[in-house]
Amino acid sequence: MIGALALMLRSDRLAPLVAAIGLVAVLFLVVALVTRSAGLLPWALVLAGAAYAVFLVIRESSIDAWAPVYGAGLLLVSELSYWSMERRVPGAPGEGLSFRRGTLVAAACVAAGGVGGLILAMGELSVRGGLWLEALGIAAAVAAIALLARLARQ
Amino acid sequence: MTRHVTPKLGAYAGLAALGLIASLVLGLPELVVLAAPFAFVAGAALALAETADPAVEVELERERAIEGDELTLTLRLATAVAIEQLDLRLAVPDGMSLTEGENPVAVRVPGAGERDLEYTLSCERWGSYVLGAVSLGAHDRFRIFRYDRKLDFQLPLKVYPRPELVRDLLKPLETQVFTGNLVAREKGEGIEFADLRQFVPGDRVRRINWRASARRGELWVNELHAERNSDVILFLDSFTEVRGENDSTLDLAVRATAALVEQYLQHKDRVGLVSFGGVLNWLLPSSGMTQLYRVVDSLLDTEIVLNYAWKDIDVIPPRTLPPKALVIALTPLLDERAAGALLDLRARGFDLAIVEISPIPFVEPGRQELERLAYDIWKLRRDALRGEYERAGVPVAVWNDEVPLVAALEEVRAFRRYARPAHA
Repeated sequence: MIGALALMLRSDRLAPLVAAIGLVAVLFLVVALVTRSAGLLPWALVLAGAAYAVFLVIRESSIDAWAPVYGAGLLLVSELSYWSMERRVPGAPGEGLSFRRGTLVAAACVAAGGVGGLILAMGELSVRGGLWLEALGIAAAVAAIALLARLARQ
Repeated sequence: MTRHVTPKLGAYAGLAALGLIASLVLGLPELVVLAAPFAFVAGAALALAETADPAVEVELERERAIEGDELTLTLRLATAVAIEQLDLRLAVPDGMSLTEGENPVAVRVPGAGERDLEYTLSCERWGSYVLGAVSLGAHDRFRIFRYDRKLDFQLPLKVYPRPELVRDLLKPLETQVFTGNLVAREKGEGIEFADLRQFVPGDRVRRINWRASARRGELWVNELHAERNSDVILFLDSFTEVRGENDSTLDLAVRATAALVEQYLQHKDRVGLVSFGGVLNWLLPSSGMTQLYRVVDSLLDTEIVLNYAWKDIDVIPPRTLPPKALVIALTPLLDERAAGALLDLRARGFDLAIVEISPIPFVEPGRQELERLAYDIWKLRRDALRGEYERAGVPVAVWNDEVPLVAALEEVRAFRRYARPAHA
């Protein structure tokens, strides 16, 4: 909700369109949480990403420095949503399982934000890299997806 | 443990792929940044995932208990790989409850470590139980994988009925031929004086009653009552029961039966059991501690099995009901088949006594007039049936949880004192 609002406020043009997509994303998220439907949650995240993509397309200016924050925010929303949908099993006294998990989620979000910032910085540096660098980027993206698929198969 | 991939992995991989493709198509590097966290978490989870396979042991404090006892069940976990969260669910059968310990519970098991979890179980109802069914569920750090396993250690537990207080037992009208604690009508070896008779060659000198002999001028000897045992058959009506919140008529009947069996066996009597119901179950009369455990174990397996087939006492093996045996029936007098079988037993000359496990405390009279009328008619019909037994010379004592069993037995004893059944 905060992300959608921030995007709307930051939009130069077509702010209602960005806000509408953001609102639909929030609605999807609410429905997913209420019905505890894990299948619906990715669609809420896709819509939130789509709202950001629309914002970037209509913005027509330099690279958005807030992208790592949005990325980390989306990850946080996703992690907390999956957490709330899980079947709750009470922890044994003194275990501190919730605290440990919360710390891990926060650390993952911070690390993911850091990785995003690093990618963004590298992108800014290589903005005039030419066709070869772009091809390398495509290959890297395909390799990343392939690596994920391979790890998942294991 | 069986590894399952959670929907989260597919979602994160999909989001990462979508972000990267959209970034390439739209030429927006920010979308790579948006996709990167999901790819990072999915990649890290996949790279760091280790199969959790904890060794589990379950230990039960003891295998036998009495209703109301509390037992400790210890669950011992050992693992080579650290498990961030292990969800444990112990199956607690009906009739038992957990008084201490969380169930289900989530714990963290450190790598190369052991962890003991203690559960206190309360035995609320008699019966044979099998404990030790445990469900395990583990997660990796990022909740990308779930590991499941179900274990069943099959730990047997026998919960014996809570003993009822019994002081004086019902004495049978006739005794058997073996030595016991009952003073028989027959004369023989014993300590209770029976009669005097003239000395005959072969009589032991210690039997001579010197005072009587001096008075009569010839030798007279004491005759004594023999001390014999008896055969007692406990007839448990298991056709039907009325169940309340905590108890049922069958529970009370089983408790009373267990108490009576124990007492009679202590008096060196032979005790047999007939569980007459949907499933017929019997034990031939015998004595000793082995028989006690045999009968009680048989009682633990007693359950109400719905059966509409007509049954009478002909289905009971003849050796189960020896002649001159005292038959004590514990019945709620709800099923016609059991009621008829008892009358049939009496007609065949068995020494019968009925302890009626009253279902009335378990039944609500109802609020409407019609319900109250039906309730009153039902009570009147029960009174009529009781009267029918009494006319046949069978004592019927009403017993419920509010009255001690001793009082019910005393009622039977009083009836038998004044109304002896006639033999054909």
